[in-house]
Amino acid sequence: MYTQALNAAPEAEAPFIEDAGRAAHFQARIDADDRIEPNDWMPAAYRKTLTRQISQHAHSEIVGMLPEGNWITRAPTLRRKAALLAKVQDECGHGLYLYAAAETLGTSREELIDAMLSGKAKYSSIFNYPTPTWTDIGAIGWLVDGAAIMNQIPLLLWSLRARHDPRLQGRVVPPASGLRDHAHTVARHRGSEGDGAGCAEPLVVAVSDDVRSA
Amino acid sequence: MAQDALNRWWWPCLMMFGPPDNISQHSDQSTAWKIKRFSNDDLRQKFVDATVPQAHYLGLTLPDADLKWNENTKHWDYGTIDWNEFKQVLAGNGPCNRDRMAARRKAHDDGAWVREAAAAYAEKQKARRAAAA
Repeated sequence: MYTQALNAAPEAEAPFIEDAGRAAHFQARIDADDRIEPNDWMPAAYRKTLTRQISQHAHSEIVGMLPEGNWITRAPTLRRKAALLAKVQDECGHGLYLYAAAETLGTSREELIDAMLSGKAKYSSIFNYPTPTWTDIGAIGWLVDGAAIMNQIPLLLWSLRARHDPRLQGRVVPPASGLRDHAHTVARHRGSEGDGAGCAEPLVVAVSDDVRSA
Repeated sequence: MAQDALNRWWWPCLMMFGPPDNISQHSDQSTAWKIKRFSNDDLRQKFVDATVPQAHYLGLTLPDADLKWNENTKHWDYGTIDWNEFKQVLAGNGPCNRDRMAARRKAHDDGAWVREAAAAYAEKQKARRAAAA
């Protein structure tokens, strides 16, 4: 669930000469809140930007396993070990989904991974910080995941537009749409309240690939 | 212990939202394409506003002497982020950059035989199908 706005400097390159009509049609679709699919025509720079962002997100998920994975063998209880193991596996799954999504835009997984291993492609700066204590695992779940969710929710809410789902009109997102309402999670896990802070306000968390039935 | 962890992670988490809007380089085109819906600073502010009450609820102190509630804006004002640290981490000089890259490269190298075996298996299956056809 990690993403980051890195805002790296765009590489200097000659402007693409593209079909002005197609470009105008594309922008009109965007302006109309239409959904762009990988096989649709799109400006080369749009494809490149999305490939960069999605692959950067994928690299972040994969590298993000390292600081948390550091504590799997030393988790204080078996229950927490199981929870951490599941969380780290989750990140791996997110990374693999994201590589698959980036591949639909025309760059192979090998190229994407090589770009990361050679240092050419970036991942989120946050995973370059150490986890010297078990408490850092809590801090990652609270702060790092919280920041990542904050980065992703706007994208998610906009991608699930009313046009595609009448239940989303007015941007009121019910749990059934594939989002988990934190208030429900809190209720389900009341038994483990002693492990965490609880949450003062309902917060929509998690993305559609991370849904469990209640 | 929780306070120490908060002290370690707070500022790096604020950096996760990227450079401040006035020096951000991609935003205009990404906004026109609706890839970017909110600015880095807007999202950072949302995060601060959501997290400060949680820290207080936990009895923790955020490691920012300038943090204070702004009655006019109804937001928490926060101190200056050390963008030089952010730049250093992006440049590969964070506390763990080298470890992280070394771990990923080792995992990739250690997995080479799996990729080779999978490719060889796929080739074999293809040859069998061709022979059967």
